[in-house]
Amino acid sequence: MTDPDIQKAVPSTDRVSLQHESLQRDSLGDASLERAVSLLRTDVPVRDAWRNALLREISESPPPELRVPSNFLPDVPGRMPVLLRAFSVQPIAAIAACVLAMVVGGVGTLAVMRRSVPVTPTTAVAAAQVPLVTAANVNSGVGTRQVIRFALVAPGAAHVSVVGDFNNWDPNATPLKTARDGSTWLIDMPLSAGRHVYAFVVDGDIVADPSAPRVVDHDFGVQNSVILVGSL
Amino acid sequence: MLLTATSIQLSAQSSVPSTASANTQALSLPARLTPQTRTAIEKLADSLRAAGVPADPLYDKAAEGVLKNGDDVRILAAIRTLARDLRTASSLLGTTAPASDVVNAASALSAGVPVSAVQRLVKRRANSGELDGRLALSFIILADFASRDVPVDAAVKAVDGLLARGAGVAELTAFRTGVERDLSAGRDVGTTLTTRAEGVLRRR
Repeated sequence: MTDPDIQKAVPSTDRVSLQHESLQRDSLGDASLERAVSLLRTDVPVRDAWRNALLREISESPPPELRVPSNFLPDVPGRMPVLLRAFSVQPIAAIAACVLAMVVGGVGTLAVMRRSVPVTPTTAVAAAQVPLVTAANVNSGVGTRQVIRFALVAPGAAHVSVVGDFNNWDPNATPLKTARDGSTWLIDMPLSAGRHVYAFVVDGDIVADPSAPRVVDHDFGVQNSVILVGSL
Repeated sequence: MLLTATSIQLSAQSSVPSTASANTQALSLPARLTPQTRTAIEKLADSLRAAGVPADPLYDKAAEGVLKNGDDVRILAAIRTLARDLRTASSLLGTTAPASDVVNAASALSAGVPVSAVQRLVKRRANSGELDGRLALSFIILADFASRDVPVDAAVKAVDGLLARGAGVAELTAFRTGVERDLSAGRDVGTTLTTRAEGVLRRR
């Protein structure tokens, strides 16, 4: 908008003019200065016609020209603008960087794998009581049997049995049954007093009882569990 | 797969007479074994029976070996070792000893308890008269300790000391339970053997 246009849109009576205040620097005193500041702080009256003319001028003006560098990727919805930069690397440096990345990546992967592989998939929630035989049972060799409950939580297992020196290590002799929760396998069976070595067979795999004391099997290299049966 | 297991002793519900091997079903050798291996095992079992030594544990060992995918050579070696331990135990205890005592003593030998230690305990029975069930219980305790890496010499010394001072079955049991608890808590083995033995005798 040019100055004559503004003069047309805004009446002369509304124009702010400081000429009558005689604000020449050499003649300013404190009173004059305060008056000038007070005058400057007052709101400038703006008429609606003037404001509308200004806004119309702005809306009709063309948008400012966008200067896009030649290496700037075109704007794609959902993607951050990317400014491309060109680098130049010596071939030998590129090869060295690749080798370094492979070594660092390999070592890192190994470290993560070592930390993440579980040592044992078993977790015990209850410790087994391991009582001992009674004197009568031991001494006479003819003792009373005691009912022992074997329980194993094995979610997803199709078949669980208990094997030991009490059933000739026969995986079909003593199958466990699932409890109501569908993942706990149970059986109550009478055992003679004494020390018994046993294990569970879960879908064909021999598993030591995670909550009972274990003994190393020097003969075949598979750990067993041990229970001492008896009441005192 | 998450496995959680526990074996819980329920109250004694029956008084069906049984021996240490009475839980086993009709003993037979696994069909997977070769005829030669089966013959060798049967000969060993026959020789034990002829000498009055219990032979049932040989069949258990054969079945265990087959279940654990041991080959015939390994199974036969394990059975020969077990037969030797049974024979040694029987000779130490005498032909009149109950089969369960012989089996328990053989278990102690198999677990690493030296012959001299078994001999020492047997000798104490001879000196002290009948030890009731304490002798067999001592074998069970020693076998249990030895199989769990408790120093055998220290364990034998502690158990023998208890027997020498007249500890009964209840005291031996309390001793074993206390040591078990301490081992689970990670306490020093040597210290717990001494303190538990002394504690048991102090409460008499």
